[in-house]
Amino acid sequence: MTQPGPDLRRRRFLAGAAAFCGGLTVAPGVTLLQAQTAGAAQQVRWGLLIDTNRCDPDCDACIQACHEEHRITHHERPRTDPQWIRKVTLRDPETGWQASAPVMCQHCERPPCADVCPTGATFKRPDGIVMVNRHTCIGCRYCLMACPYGARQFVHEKVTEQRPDSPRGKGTAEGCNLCVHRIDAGNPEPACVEACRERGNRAIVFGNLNDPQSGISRALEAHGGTRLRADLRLNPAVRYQGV
Amino acid sequence: MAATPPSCRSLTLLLGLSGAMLQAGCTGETPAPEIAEARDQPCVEEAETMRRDHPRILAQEKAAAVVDGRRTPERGLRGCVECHGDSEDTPVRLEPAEPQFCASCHQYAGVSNNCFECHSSRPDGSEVRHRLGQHHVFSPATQAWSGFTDGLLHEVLAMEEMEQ
Repeated sequence: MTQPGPDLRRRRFLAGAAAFCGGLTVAPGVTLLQAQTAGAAQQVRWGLLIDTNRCDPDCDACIQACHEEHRITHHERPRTDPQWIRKVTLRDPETGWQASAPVMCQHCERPPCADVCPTGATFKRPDGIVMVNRHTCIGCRYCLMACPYGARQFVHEKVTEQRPDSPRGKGTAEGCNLCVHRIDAGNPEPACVEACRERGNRAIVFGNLNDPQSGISRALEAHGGTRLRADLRLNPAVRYQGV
Repeated sequence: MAATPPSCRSLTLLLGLSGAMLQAGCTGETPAPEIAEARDQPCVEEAETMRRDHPRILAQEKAAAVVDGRRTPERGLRGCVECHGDSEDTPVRLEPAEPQFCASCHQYAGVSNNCFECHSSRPDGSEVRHRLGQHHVFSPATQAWSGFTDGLLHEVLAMEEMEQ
């Protein structure tokens, strides 16, 4: 027996009506007060390309810049102190070859952290940035367990002196957000990329993966890039060269 | 009609006694909150609108900024902090003894949310200072909104006057 299908015409009409009314009235007594500016663009996918051959194993400028930008303070407790970027050393035991690379949130196309989040606090923005809505986060730490890159962090201690651009608080999960406040303010260069460039290493390139003319896309086209744990098919937006 | 069971009678007596005790303990008047002055006037909306609807305005800005990346900092919490937050040279005013713009009134009203556990309570600089007198820019929606809130506000003010 066939079920009668949904009346798509009616749905389309309702969606159109909602879009028409959305600019003025959301519900009786709830009115949008202002015209909204353009937000995270859907046709954009922000990503990073990290050249491990250019990355100095003894340099931690990206980590320092990240911690300064987001005012991530430490309590000399390495097991619980949050760290949005970690320098990871890869070593081939047969040949002795070593490479160093910063590993942060990989901003997966299909983020497992968002899959497991019970409240929907972890989400992917239209421009591909995976973020935590700390207003909704209940601190269950499922995302920390789900992330195969160990990139999710948890704020264990009370936080003071936050940056206005980067609110953080005890009891919530967090991770690299590609300096989303800079992107939304029209300055799309994360603090780590800026620090690496100022140090002269230029090991990290930031750009729009969906734009074939962007620097990151042209570099990927010319030299290729590796996805960490590509077998998981998460399609991260952070790519690596030389690993 | 069935007689009231003894357990009910004792409960009524207990409730009446506790009510009388409560009334006896609440003879003093709660002092009105001392609210810190704003550094800049006027606000992004009329004061009456802000008094009643700042939670909704902030919630709307929060959803737009966090989820969609549409940021209008002068209407969000950053905008509030620019005028009402702690100044650069004073320490963070989280002690209840000192008059604060948000916390004084929230304590008076028994509102327990504290935005500043995560958000900075100090102004950052001049880049997000709101455009003064912005409320007349969005006049059609604001008019409708004010019309809705004004009635409620007048009722509240009348009630407060009656209490005094």
